[in-house]
Amino acid sequence: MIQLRPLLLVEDNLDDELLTTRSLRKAGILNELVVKRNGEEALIHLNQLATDQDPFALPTVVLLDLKLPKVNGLELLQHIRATPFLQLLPVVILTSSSEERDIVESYSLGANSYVRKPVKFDQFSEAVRQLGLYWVITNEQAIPKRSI
Amino acid sequence: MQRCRKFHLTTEQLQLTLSVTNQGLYELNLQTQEVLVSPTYATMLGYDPRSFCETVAHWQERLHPDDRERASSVFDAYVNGLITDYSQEFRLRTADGGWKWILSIGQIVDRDAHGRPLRLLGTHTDVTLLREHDQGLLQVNQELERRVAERTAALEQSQMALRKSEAHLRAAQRIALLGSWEFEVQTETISWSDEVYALFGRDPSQGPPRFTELLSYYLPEDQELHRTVVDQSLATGKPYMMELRLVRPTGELRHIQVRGEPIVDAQGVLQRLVGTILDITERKWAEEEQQRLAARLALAIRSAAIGIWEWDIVSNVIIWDERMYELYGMACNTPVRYDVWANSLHPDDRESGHLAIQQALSGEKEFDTEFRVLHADGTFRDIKAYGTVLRNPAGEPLRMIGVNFDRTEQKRIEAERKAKSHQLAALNRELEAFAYSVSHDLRAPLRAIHGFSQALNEDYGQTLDAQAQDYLARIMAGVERMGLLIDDLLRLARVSRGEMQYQMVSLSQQVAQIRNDLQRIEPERQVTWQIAPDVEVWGDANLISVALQNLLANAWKFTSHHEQASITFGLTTQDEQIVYFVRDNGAGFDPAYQNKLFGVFQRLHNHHEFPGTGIGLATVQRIIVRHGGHVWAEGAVEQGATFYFTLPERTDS
Repeated sequence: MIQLRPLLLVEDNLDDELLTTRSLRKAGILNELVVKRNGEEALIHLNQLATDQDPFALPTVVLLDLKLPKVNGLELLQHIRATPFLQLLPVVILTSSSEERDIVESYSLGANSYVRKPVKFDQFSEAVRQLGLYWVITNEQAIPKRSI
Repeated sequence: MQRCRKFHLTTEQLQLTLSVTNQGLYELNLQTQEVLVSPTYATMLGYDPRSFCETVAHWQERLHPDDRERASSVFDAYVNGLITDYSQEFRLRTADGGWKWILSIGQIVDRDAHGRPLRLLGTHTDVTLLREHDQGLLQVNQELERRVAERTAALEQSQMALRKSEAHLRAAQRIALLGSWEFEVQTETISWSDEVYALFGRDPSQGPPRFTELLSYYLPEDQELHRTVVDQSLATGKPYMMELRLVRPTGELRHIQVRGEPIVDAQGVLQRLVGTILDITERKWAEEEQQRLAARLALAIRSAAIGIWEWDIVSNVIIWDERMYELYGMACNTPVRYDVWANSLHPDDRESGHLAIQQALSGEKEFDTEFRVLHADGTFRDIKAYGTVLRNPAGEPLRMIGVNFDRTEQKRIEAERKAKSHQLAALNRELEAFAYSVSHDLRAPLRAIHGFSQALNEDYGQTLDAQAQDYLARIMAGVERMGLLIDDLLRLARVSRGEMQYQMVSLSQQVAQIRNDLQRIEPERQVTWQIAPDVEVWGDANLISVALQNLLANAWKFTSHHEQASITFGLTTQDEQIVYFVRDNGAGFDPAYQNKLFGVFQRLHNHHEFPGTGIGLATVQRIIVRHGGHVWAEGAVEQGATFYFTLPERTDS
């Protein structure tokens, strides 16, 4: 089933944002793309979602950069996993680093996937395309019940 | 009775003679077994001659039971002609029941026509007294013989004891390495016990040496000593003792101790010298060894600047050596008691110092502690102290002895080292943060350049001419190369960081795995691989894998222009050490630049020939060196290259 719920991209680099958007569109993914440009903005957005308790407003997938101003990606991930309404959100770490400790920490905090942004752009867009398609088209998601 | 009388009458004279000599006469009729006897015969046995009548049966009956059989058989033997003379002694019972020894001598005096005996005539002599006398004599004799035997035995025993004690003495001398000697002054002869020969290494068959020859056994300077000491003893008559060194005929040097004593006769004239020789070589060696040890200990104490102290607990007197006073900054010979010592400690250390002493005295803990000592100039010294408590048999502490030494410098170095290692750790963290930052931040702009170049090409490619497109392609290629450089630099940084995780690693398996990976990426390439089986090393599996990947990827890359490519992984030995190698028959390198192979960013080939960042071999070298091994290479242009490396054997630390 095709998810029409939005994708949430947390990315502080405008170039990467534009390239990611372009790749997703080129791959034919037409879901709304919500972009938050630092950790704090993302946190506010996620808290709002938790407050609204609207399962249809929840993103299909969160594409999360690690190095972010103010609140970093790992802290955000930790927050998502600790918030009842958000904790089942699929989170994909999308980052420049392939440092082992980043990978280990991401997975141990509950990341669903870890993708390194390749320098070579066609590899990058291929990675983004596959990610988008996978989470948007293939993955059956657990929709959290509205808590009263 | 008639015949008795008749006999009586005819032999009156004889009768008288017989009675005077106290002998009884008898006549036996062998036909009738009747016996005629003289009165003495009867009185001899305490009978009244008038009523006494003798027969063979009576005689036999009167015989002592112990003599009866013998006496009867002698009698029978004579009568039957088996023996020629009849003379025997036996005991006969007297009238009062006592016993008398009787000597009976008889002779057949009448025979019939056939020679058969008819009459036997004989005498009885009372030999009781004689027998008793003889018995006494016999006893005396026997006693004498017994005593002689006893004396002989005692003599033999004492001779044996003498022989035994001589043997003992010889054994004792041999075991004690102690010989005995004598010197006769008049004749100037020396005599030696067996052991002296052994001590001098002289064959006993040669006999003892003359006095002058004896001296030649000793070292020249000891000969003089010997002469002086002996002369003095002879002059004073006093015993002497000296230690000498002798040289055996084999050249072996022995230390001996000689004791001597002059012996004078009753007139006070010197007769001889007697004495002993003791082999003290072992003792001398032990003494020398002890001196050496003492000297070594003194040297160690001096060079380690160890102070020695001794505390008489009962009198509370502490004795310090010079070094102790130096350690405590006090004038030598300042009297020290417990409180003097305690007050010289840093105020903060007095309590713990006192406690350490108390614990040592109570036996709770060894005295092994550290404290600071306050000097008059206000500076402190860090002191390490050890001590041991000496106790009486009841376990009460009597004395403590111990050492102090200065650890101030050591402490300072330790503190410095600690500060250095902190700095280093901080530096390391900084470096790590730098690498992390590089990993994240350096890539992002590259991605932008590359990404937008591609977007430009994709979206506006049709409006760009060929040259513009070529420029774009060059931009992208440059960026890709920059990306690889960053990756390799980060990898190089990574191999220097982090803990090593040692385990047994199969090089053969890792090589095979990498071969499969390389072959999968470029399946069209034909490369002959030779991989030595079962090669295992002790190392960090991840790091070793990175090193092998670099070496094998190089071999793979540099054989790419060769039709008959071959890559070998193997091992050999050099100077008894195992050396592993990766060999290819590819492009090789100019040995002139061999030393540049392992430098970062050093490349011996143009990028368009063989792409690469020039970081791979630097990474290999860093990994091998981190393991404690070496890496080097051999090669020639178009002759292939061989990369050798060693890895230390497994250690348990």
